[in-house]
Amino acid sequence: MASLMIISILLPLIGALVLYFGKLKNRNVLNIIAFAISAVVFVLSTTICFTNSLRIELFQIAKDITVLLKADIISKFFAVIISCVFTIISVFSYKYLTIEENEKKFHSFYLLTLTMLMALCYAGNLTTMYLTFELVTLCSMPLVMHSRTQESIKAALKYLYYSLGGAFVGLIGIFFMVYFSTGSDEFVLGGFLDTVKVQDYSSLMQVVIFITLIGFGVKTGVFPFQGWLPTAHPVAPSPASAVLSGIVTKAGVIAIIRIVYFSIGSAFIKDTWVQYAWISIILFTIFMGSSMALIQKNFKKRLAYSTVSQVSYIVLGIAMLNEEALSGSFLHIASHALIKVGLFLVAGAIILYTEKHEVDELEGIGKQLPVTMICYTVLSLGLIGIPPAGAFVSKWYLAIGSIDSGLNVLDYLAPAVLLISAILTAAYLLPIAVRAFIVKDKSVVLEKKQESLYITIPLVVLTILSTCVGLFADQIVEIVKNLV
Amino acid sequence: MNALIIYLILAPIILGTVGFFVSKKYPKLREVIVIGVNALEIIIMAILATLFGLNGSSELVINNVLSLGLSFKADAFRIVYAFITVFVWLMTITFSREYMSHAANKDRYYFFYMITLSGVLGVFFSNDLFTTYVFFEIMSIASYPLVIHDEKENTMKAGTTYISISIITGMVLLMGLFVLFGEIRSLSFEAIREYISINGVSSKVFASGLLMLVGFGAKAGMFPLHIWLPKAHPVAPAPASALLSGVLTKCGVFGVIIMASNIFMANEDFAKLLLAFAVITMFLGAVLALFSVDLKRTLACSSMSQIGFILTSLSFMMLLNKEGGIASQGAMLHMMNHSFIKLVLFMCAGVVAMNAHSLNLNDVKGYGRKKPFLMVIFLIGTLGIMGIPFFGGYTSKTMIHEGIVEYINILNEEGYNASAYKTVEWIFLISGGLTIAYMTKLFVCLFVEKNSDEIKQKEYDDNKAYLSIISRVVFSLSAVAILLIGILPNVVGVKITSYTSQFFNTEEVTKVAFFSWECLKGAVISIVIGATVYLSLVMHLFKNKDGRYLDLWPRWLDLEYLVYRPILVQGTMLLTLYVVKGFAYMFDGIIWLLKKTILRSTVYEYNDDSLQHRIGLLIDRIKPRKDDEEYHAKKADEVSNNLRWKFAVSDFSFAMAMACIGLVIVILFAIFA
Repeated sequence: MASLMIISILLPLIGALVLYFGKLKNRNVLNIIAFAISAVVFVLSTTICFTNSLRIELFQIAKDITVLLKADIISKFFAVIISCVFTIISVFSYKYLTIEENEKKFHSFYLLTLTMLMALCYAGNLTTMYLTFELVTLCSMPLVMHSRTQESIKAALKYLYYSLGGAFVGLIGIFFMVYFSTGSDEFVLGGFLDTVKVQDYSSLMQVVIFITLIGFGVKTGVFPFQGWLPTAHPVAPSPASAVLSGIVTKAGVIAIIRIVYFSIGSAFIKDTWVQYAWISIILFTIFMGSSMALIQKNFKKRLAYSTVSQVSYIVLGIAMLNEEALSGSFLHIASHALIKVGLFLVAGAIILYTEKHEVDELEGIGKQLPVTMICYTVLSLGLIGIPPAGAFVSKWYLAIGSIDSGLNVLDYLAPAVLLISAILTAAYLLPIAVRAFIVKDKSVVLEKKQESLYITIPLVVLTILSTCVGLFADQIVEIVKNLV
Repeated sequence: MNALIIYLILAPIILGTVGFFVSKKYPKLREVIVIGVNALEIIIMAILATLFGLNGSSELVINNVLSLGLSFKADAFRIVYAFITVFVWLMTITFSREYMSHAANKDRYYFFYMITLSGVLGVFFSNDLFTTYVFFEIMSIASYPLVIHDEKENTMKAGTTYISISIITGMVLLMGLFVLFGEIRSLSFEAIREYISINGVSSKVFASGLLMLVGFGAKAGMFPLHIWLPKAHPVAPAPASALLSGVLTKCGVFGVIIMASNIFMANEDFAKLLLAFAVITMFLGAVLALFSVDLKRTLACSSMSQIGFILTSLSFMMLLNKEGGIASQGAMLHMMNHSFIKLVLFMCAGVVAMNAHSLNLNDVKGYGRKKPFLMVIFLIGTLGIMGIPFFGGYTSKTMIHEGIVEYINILNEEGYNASAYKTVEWIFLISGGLTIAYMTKLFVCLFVEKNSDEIKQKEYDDNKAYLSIISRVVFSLSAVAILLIGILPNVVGVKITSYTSQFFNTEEVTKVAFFSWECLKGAVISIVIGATVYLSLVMHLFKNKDGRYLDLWPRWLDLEYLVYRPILVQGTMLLTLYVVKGFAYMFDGIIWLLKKTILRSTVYEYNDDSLQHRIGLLIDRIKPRKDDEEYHAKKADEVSNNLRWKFAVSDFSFAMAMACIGLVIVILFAIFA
């Protein structure tokens, strides 16, 4: 059964190579291959969900440095969500990519990113995780500079430098963690640190861990390293922005969960200054992301800042180090992945049909693209946290978790910041929805466009799924029960 | 049995959606569906009421949905209020057929009409605050498209106020729930009541109560969060205004009742706080209504004032504790009365708006002349809300008044100073008087006075086909409800409300001597005050010589533009633009700075005199060893490029070396210091 993991990693890799080097001309075939592979990976991930824990050692890079794949509950959860969203996006890409050139390259890097993300999900030890984490950055970078304009190349380089820089900082922590380990760097719930060894150096280790968390946090857009998100998202093709925002930021989340719960153990930083400082930074990021989104004129930039704040919700849930908050985190991972991908696809649909990028131009867009904008409205309400959307339940758990955490000041400050951010979210998302359907100047004739099914079906599916996350949140909460 | 509750809540959403999709092809079918659903709801409510009676109750818990699970309960209060809700919905949706016959976007209107119904029913049936919140938010959001239906500019403005208040106070309410849940670990009403009876009200619970009061109070229209009420009601379509005023505000009141009866029963601090806000709301609403020259705005402000009456009664219920039966039942009865009365009055206003296409009192003056049906219906509503004996409002206002008097008596018996509550009683009576004044103003304006424009008056007089037969039936049914409560107060009003005492956590009162002098006195005082105010102020001050009504309320005195917008909008913008933006670009700024300084691309000519440059020049003066010939040869080549001795100042590795030296100094300092 362990081979299932290898297949789900190798299949998109082979697909990527075939698409890149093969001489396929027909775009239908290209798209079908990309879609089929994503779908198969989704099926495989779902199958893996029903198996017991899988574990396989692939090879050794050097003595003591093994590449290890493991499918535990975290891997399964992320793998299903990532592959599901990838499948949905690949349907959308079929229609959207008609306005982009070089489709072949897009699809091959798209599948390559999927490969690396799958490998990251199944990474069983720190070394493998670091390896795949870097590869995710490298493989998703070409997606950002797909249009090959100077602006996009600059943005891609910025993304690359930020992410690599963050990962290098994280690497320092990995060295320390491996040094203080009990011999192996394989992920174990509760951490693999040698408590005796680390005892004398605990204050040093705390500094290192703080740096590591921030380093890997760069991928999640933690303050002050959120700069790459608003630069990279607007220039990338919409499906790529969706992947970056909805999925690639989650790579940072995976890394942080692996470090906090599976490498050092949550007890190590609980109630220390590390937790306080970390949460403070996250709270500031949440507030900053939301309020920056409020003043953005570019639609995708606004969504990018929204991602900065929303992904920090997730990290906040991890940082609170208790079961309730972590449940909220997991719920928010699922709902944010679905909602934010949906919102970026809406942005894509708008660009595809009307070539509008700025928020102010979107007046009356709902008359032109009714289905798209109805989906947008429901998705935005979900992101604000209006019940019964998933983000509402996740916010509930995050807040209750914060109150339970017993930290001074932060326990009540955190829910307050979450709610202020929710109000700001409403302020930057809802006016677009209202103006989309209600036009001030009635004399303007807005022609209704024929929305392709390849555009509407992914959007409707994402909208329905994001609501279902809330209604059936219990399954996700179950996952967390055994973790903390 | 319990499945009926689920049906009641879900049917409008599901069938409303079906109606939305079939409306494109079969608009008639959609109308059949929406009215059919409402009719069915009323039948099911009747079944529910007969099955359980008003004595029993039945609970329903749905686990796992939304992770925390939803729970519902059907007891006397909920059945009565759900019944009123579906009654109001059936009446207004039937009237909507006529009112909206020429409007655009009917699909959207009916769709959200049904969703709002689900939300409201969910709120009223909820048995824990989590469920209440879920449906409360659905109701808040779904009612927004109803408010902005005509899409005009001032409508959109009012809509923005409405949705902003809804969302912001909704989040504050959620914060209150977080805090409460953090303390009690459960939000079910029974659990909260039990917890409080054992542990009392801690400071955190009190804080959560304040937060929740913001959330529920805003929806109820409580001062200072009432600002949406006078703005949203006039612009919404009349049937929607009837809903907003008659039922949606009661959702907010429902929340306050939950808090009052479960958490803050006998908590004097909270009761006094609520009383202060309630009295201001009651009085301010009446004053605003008196000043208004817009038909629906007057009714909206009147709603605000009446909500003030209800909240006042709830405060006295808390003060009286278990003996607060008279106050709680007074509040309940006034809620019922107000729902029916505002249903009738707003629908009448709808008739005026539909035919005269205006709501300004000076434009519609004299519209109701020679229209006996409209006049009788409007009169019943007017007399009802005025609190004239034999009409609905009298019974409930009397009970509220009795509650106040009872508390004053208790204080007097115990020897405390009751002058503050005496004042409250007088404000109560004065507000009642103002109610009479502004309703008389409306009635006289519509049905007695003649329009200054004779052509218009002729038009109005000739407008005989102003209402269809179906709508007339709807209007009559609604008016009968008001009369029923008024004429048989002890049989209908007190009887029904006495079943709700368990819900209110008070002892029941089964009989009130409504027509004793004690009770009539309050009404008489109010009538005298009302007549005085009308004859002196309205007849002379608010009218100019031509008989036009004047809008004397100063424009700038608007809480929204005076306080809320400057603080919220401009405050946020300033903070974002100047503070947060700085932080957001901090790291990018550092990179930019580095690029401009030590990481800038090589330029040979240096003019600056930075420290780094000077040290670099110093290092460049160090001559290489003389015997290193290879090095000399290499350097000789570079002379031609004018680069000699200048490699250090323009080199990145040099900058790195400088950084390392800095680090070494720091480490040395750390070691030896």
